[in-house]
Amino acid sequence: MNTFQHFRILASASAILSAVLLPLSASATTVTTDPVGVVSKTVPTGITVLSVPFLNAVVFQGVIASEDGLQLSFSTSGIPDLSGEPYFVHVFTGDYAGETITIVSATSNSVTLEHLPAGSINGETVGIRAHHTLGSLLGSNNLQTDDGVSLYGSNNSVRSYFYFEGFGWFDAALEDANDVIVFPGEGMALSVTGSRELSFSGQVLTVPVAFPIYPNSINIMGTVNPAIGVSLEGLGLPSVLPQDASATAYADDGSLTADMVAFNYTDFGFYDDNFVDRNGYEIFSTGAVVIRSTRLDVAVIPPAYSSED
Amino acid sequence: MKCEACIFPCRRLAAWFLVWLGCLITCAGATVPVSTSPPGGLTPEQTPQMILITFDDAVNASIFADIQKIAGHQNPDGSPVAFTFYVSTNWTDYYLVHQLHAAGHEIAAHTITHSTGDSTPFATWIREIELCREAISHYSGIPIADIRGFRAPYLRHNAAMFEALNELGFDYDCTIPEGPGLNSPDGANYIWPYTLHDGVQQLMWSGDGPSTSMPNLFEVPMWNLLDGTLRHNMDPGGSGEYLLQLFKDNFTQRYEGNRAPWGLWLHATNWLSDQERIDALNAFLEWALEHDDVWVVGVGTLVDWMRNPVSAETAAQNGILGSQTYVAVPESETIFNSFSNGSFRSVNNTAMAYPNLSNVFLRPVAVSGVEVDWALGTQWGASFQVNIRTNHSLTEPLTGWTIQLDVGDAEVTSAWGGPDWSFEDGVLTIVPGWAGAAIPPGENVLMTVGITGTPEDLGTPTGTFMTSGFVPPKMTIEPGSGPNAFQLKWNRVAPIYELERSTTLAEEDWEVVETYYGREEATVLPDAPAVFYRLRAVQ
Repeated sequence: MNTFQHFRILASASAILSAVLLPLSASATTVTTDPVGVVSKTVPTGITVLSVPFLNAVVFQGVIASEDGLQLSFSTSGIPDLSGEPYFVHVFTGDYAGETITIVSATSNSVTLEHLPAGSINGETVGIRAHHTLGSLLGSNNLQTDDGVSLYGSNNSVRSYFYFEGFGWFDAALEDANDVIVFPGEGMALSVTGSRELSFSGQVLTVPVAFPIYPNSINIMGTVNPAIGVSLEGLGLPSVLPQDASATAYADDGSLTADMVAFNYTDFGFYDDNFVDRNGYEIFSTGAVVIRSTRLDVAVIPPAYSSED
Repeated sequence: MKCEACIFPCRRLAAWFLVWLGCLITCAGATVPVSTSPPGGLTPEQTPQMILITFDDAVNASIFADIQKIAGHQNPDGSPVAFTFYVSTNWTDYYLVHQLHAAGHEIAAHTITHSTGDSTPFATWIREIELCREAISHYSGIPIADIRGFRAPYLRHNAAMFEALNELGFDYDCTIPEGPGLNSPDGANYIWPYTLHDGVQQLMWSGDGPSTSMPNLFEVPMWNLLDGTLRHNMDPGGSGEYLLQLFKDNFTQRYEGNRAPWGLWLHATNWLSDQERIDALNAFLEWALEHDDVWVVGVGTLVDWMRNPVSAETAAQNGILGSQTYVAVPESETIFNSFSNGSFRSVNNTAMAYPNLSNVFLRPVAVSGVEVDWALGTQWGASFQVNIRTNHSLTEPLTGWTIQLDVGDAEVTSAWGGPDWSFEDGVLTIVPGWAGAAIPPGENVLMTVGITGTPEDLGTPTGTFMTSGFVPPKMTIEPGSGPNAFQLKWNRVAPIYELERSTTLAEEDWEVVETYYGREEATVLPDAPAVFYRLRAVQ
């Protein structure tokens, strides 16, 4: 019999630790939220490659106490009712920080995931957030009937949806598409028949987001950074992607004209056809870069803000 | 909640008039001017005669027992009579406050320390009032929205106090004594409560009124009881016979006059310790409540009625003046909070310290870097012992801590070694107890617990080590109701919040653009293509 049982409690919740140690010093008198924000964007007539620079708020944060297949149990309870809209687990700490996995069911202290994490996240701090959906992002955002959007899948698939004023989003079969998930960092191709004033609001990213790059597919990757442009290098793409992976950014005029096309060269990064270094090319806050690759990789979108900024 | 249209008229008079009129009709904070006439166009004969009985300061077992001696009367709708308690938190038993609230009484704020005066600055008023409200709500299980009235200690007030009440969203103040004089011609025609849109409309023997218009804040006068030229305000003295006659004479004068409320303003500690006074008050209430249009109500209920005045006949039907009761938390489920500087019972929430101006918002916060071991000890029959140990390398001893352990299917039946403990639903909770045990760095045996079952019943132990801390606020943003309006919402973690704005997220770019007090939401109008907000909670 094991006569000595040992457990370590919340060993890696550095964010929580910092919040607690300050009061212990008896000198801290203020505590500050992570930032939220609003970004407005004029979308011109035509097709715009677009991404959302915010995530939704964390509705629960905890430490993984145990893993059992797809089920994660937390050391504390308090997970709210997650019915009604899709949610995901966002890993905040450890080797897999940034990974996001959709939740299929939950109790007050456990969640069941859609797929397994890339590796063990036992003992790590994670958050639960609601997914963005077409309805939540673009449901009442000044769009008009006949506007449309396309999302691109992991198997080189494309899904197109259409907007009807007063009803929201539908797919080609006229099935309700308001609950279609727009994954963290995922960009889209928005087609509008006239200039539209869009606004996005939400939580500023304070932890990384892992963005999967699927082979032989169209991957539209945003920066999840509402304040500044982020370069290809800043997104870690030169080191993550294989030789000859391409990155394309489009002009912001609705014409779907390429503003930059570059290919990855091992040890050198992205260069265009004129051998101009494009590693520093910045994707603006509501823009996105289209990546094509031959290999499954995971790029990590860095936080847009940390309290040490 | 300011209705700016009420204050700042539009340039075009016609438009202004319509907006102003609309505001008067629809705004929750419609102004009520000072008047000796009942509100809403009611005649005195149509108006319910309200009786207000209030008690100031801490609520303890002795006071609670005395209150029961006068609380057995009923209003015309059969609901129990309701009193108002202006609670200062030092020496208060929060479970008794909870019981009073459950019995239909109104709970209002009276500061944390009961040490304010007419020179108290705004920042102190904010903390004294907001932390008092928070402590009562948190430890007595009373919704914040139910604590909406205030009385100043020693009846000493100033402009900063009114400003604080207004900022904190209180509905009313009840601090200023009122006798015949400025606007009240006599005891039969006292002024009714009024909003402070045009300042205090009473003679003030101490301090100042508000320096700005406060259309949402009521002033409820503390009407004197009159005996010829003698004016009784708080704690009227005299024999039981004298008091009964005083009460009846003033009541009759009011009832046959303009029916402004009749008030009795007491400190329960002394006044209710005299059986003669208790008998006099009971006799008066029994006599007065023989009238079917007489109600004993909380001051907040009077304010509600002032905003929506109805006749006595209607009031008897729609329940607006009846007290609302509910089943109190059983005494067996209360939490005993013990500290070196005092102790009290609470409901729902365990205290991390004895409430004062710096710690009311302290909460149990999970802490990392602390290991908890347990080692099996002696086993006998169906029981065994477990030694609970801690180990940390933090630089200071941990105080104000809580440990929660999920012990699986095992049942904790006893414990010894210093800290207090409780066991419920498979969770063992350990707190420092009376000694306020500090856990020094390194490995320490905290306590030993006795467990019924087998070691296997413990399962896989999980737990949380918590200490006291200020919880970082969390703020969300979502589209608001107006054009380009966005709603910020946050959780209550402090008395003061500073909203900071930035357009770049760079640390040097943040600037404070607004300060809020005791609030949990605000509306912002972004004025740039990218605007960011964060909230600084100030303890």
